Amino acid sequence: MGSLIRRILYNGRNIHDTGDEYRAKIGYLPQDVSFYNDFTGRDYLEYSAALKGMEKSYAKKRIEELAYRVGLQEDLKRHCSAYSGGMQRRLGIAQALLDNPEILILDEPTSGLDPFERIKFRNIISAYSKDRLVLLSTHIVSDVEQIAAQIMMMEYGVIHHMHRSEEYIKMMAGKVWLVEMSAEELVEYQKQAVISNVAAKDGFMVVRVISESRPGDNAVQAVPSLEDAYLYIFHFLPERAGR
Amino acid sequence: MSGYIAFVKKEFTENMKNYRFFILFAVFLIFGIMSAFLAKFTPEILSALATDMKMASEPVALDAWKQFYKNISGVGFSAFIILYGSCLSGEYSKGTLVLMVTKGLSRKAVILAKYTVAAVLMTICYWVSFTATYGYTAFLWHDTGLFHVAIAAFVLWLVGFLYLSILMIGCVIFRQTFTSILFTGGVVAVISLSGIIEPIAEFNPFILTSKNVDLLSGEAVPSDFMMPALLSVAMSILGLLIAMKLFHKKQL
Repeated sequence: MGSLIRRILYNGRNIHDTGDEYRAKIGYLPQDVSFYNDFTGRDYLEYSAALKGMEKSYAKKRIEELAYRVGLQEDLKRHCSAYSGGMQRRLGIAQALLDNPEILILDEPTSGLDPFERIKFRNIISAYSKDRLVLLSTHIVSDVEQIAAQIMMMEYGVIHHMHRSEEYIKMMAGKVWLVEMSAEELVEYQKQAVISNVAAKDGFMVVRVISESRPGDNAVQAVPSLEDAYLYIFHFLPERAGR
Repeated sequence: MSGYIAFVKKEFTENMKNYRFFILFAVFLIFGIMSAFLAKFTPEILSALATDMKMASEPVALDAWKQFYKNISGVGFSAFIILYGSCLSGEYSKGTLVLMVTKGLSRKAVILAKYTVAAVLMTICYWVSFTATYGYTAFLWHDTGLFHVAIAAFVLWLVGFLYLSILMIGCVIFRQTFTSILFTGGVVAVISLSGIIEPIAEFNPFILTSKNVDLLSGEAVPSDFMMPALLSVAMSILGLLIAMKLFHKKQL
């Protein structure tokens, strides 16, 4: 990746030439967000605001507002060490949003969260993305399927595609199949096919297969999903050949 | 500058909340109080324990200061280094600095703020300890008959800054607390051992920790400490600059 990216530009200007200006435009939440255990949620947000050089009274108002938006208003006085994984992520998103950045960068923000927390988190991001640019990196396809306007599929620093969710799904028309087979047949079959899902049904295995041609006489077409498109792109497309 | 101030505040808050400051304060205060009392009453305690033992001379105020310098330059500063040895390793292991640096906190400010807070807390602890020893020594021996009490303490205080600078370098280079402390101990040992090399011995900052009592008793004069003190300050500044330089390239 280092050899591919030579410069990072913000509005056409190299970020190294903009001083701290570009930092003010960016909110960032890393994958492994950590907090100071001796700090309360409020301590941490106040500290983050001070680092950003925010005016005290504005920061206070903003902390209350964000705590309400991320559902932590009752928990700000608790120590960060007592927060659950989901609460820590929500505190992380609150710090990233503190000074209302124009660009929000989130790295695997929902990994390790239970479904309830994931939905909560997704809704926060979704609401925020209405008038902001949110760059979200994730392996959980269902997260982006519902909230992303544009989805880039990227590997080893190379962007393979950038489309809207429905365009990916359209691309998969006629390439997703359901095939019924026994468990014994599946053992052999999965060595040669690209399988996106396997479900047991009435003693048979219903196998969801990605294939450009009909994979068998009993195969029926299925409604494609973004996950199918992900598998298809990383298994079939020419730019992947040789990997 | 706002980043530096915010980080300094964070460091102070953290040091209060994790009781590091209170522990060090207590250690230094206890040594400060004990120095005078131990010097005064050790002969009596020993006599009570061994009835046939007779003390050759009565304890004097100088004995209290001997205790003070032995305790502070040894155990006191060691406690400080041990407790502060984790000042960066904790940040490395948790990755807490990554987010802050993305917010515009400069790496120089991180090192400078950590050093500032450690130096301020060391200063408070040290001079509280000194005041306690001074007060109790004056209380127990009305006529101390000592010279340059403040200067003797001042030069040892300078060494505290040098130790902190060395510790900062160790903390930047090594990710583990133990190795940072070991590094600091190693460098301090090298400095003290270089005191035996005759041509440079008189400039060695180690003098600032070993000849304070001579200054009090009049066997040494303040000018003997001038060069080692200047060298200690120069080495502290250089150490801090090296730590900042190294930290600039460090992966967080």
